[in-house]
Amino acid sequence: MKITKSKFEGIYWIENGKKKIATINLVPGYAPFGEQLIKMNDVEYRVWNPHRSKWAAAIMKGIKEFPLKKGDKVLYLGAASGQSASYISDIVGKDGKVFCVEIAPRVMRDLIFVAEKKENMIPILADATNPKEYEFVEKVDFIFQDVAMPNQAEILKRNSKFLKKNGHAMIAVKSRSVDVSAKPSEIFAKIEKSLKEKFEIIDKKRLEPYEMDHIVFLVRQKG
Amino acid sequence: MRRQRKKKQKKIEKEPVIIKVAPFGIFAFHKGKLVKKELWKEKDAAGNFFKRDEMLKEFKSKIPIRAKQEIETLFGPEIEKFAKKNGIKFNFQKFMIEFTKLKIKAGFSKDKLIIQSINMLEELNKVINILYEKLREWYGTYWPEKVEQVKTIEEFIRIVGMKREGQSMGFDFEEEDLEIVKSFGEELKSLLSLREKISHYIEKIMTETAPNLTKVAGPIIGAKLIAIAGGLDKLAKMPSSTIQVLGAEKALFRHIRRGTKPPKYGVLLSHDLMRKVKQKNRGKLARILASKISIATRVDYYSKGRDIIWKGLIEDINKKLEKLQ
Ligand SMILES: C[S@@+](CC[C@H](N)C(=O)[O-])C[C@H]1O[C@@H](n2cnc3c(N)ncnc32)[C@H](O)[C@@H]1O
Repeated sequence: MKITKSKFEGIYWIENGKKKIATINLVPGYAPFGEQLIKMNDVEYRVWNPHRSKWAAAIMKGIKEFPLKKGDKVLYLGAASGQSASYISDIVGKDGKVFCVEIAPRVMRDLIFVAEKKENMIPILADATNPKEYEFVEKVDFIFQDVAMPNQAEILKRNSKFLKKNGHAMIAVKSRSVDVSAKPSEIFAKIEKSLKEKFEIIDKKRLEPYEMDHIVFLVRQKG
Repeated sequence: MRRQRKKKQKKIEKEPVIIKVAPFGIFAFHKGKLVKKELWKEKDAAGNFFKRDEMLKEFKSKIPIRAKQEIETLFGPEIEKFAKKNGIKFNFQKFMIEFTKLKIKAGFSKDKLIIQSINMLEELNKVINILYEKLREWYGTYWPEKVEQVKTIEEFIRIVGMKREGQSMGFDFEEEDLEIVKSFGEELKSLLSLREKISHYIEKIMTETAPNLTKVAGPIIGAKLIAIAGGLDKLAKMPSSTIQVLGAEKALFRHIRRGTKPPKYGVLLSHDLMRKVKQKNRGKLARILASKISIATRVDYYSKGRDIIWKGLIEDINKKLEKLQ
């Protein structure tokens, strides 16, 4: 088995026949989602499954940048049970923070168990379409958004007040959450146009074969 | 007399008192000086902040200065620094975990138990049907003539496992072959009584939480509607046209995507009144039922199950039903 640094901070390639990506486990021994843990030279890596996380899928599909750094503050909209957010938490490390906004109490229940172990994850039971509910969140370096709602671009715009100058955002869009009858490519083009009003598009990646009819945009706040 | 004089002495200050509510306590400032504070233990912080309106009321009455009061809320990770400066032990992340737990707890209501129960009842029905079908086959290899006579599950559980009488074309079971069939029969019997129990339970909590919906839709259909909507609150906020087709989501998607015919009803098809009208009028009846169910649900939700209005609704339905027939 070979483990090498990827070109993105805090993300590693694990080669063992197949190529996988991984982060360094912030809480060694802890694998709340049944993910594979690999120990090498006293470092424990957590395998990041692209079938279970859209950000991992975007990386596997060769997204140009993943500008997340150690110590970053992150706003994560639609954190669900915290699966993807837990990898973001690994990357930003103990000096970083991940504000996890989620509207559904049932999945928030699971996220709380994860946050009790990962001390940089801050649970916020709130509605991402109404940022007033969590106005106390400080300025962040990065927003991840995966809320499976029809008005994704609008929601990101509303939340961009939390983003530092030149801050980045990554947003996952599922065409079927927007409109079940229209073509995915048309829906994605519309959202891209709307995003461009406020953001510069750095890259975009369709997520097939990991997720059907999904796209991820990486954007930067216009100065 | 004395009290009056005392009151006069305490003049009303022009400058307002600023009250700051933080997750670790309440502080009152006047002319920039701290005039009163109440600190909370770390383990009580989330609970006290959660009911801060109550805490504030008490705190306000104890402020020694008479003046207009202005309230500010201090919240967010930056107050960790404020706490540190003032020698208070406080961790924002831990606070948010406890605070979110309280929010989750407060968000539960009895309708969530209705959802769990009705989902369980549906699963139980599936299990019962499968076991019944398989066990009928199994016992039928031994005593086909008897099984042939038995038409309902209730009759079947009374005879399954019984020793054969008379001539039979069935296979001759040994003691142990019959014994295992008998055990399954007993389990099936206890599943039926479990079904009875959960049905009564659903009817009871439905009547308590949504009495009008229960009367108009029936306890089982009412519970199913709540489950599909995701809660009594969500059902109360749905337009009646949506309620009409709840349970027909697949057909609805097919309609939107491929332009097939839109569904006219979902779970409302199993409403008792549906059997009283012709096939072609079922869509109309579903619309009538949905509109009354919608009213019933709203009243149940907003009056917390206290206002009883179902009689009028059922009269309306019956009047309209007569015209359809
Ligand atoms: C596809 S899941 C997110 C999965 C998660 N990002 C992961 O990869 O682990 C979408 C989540 O968004 C949440 N959501 C939907 N609308 C929301 C809103 N308005 N505010 C906050 N969360 C919302 C849903 O409850 C759901 O948990």
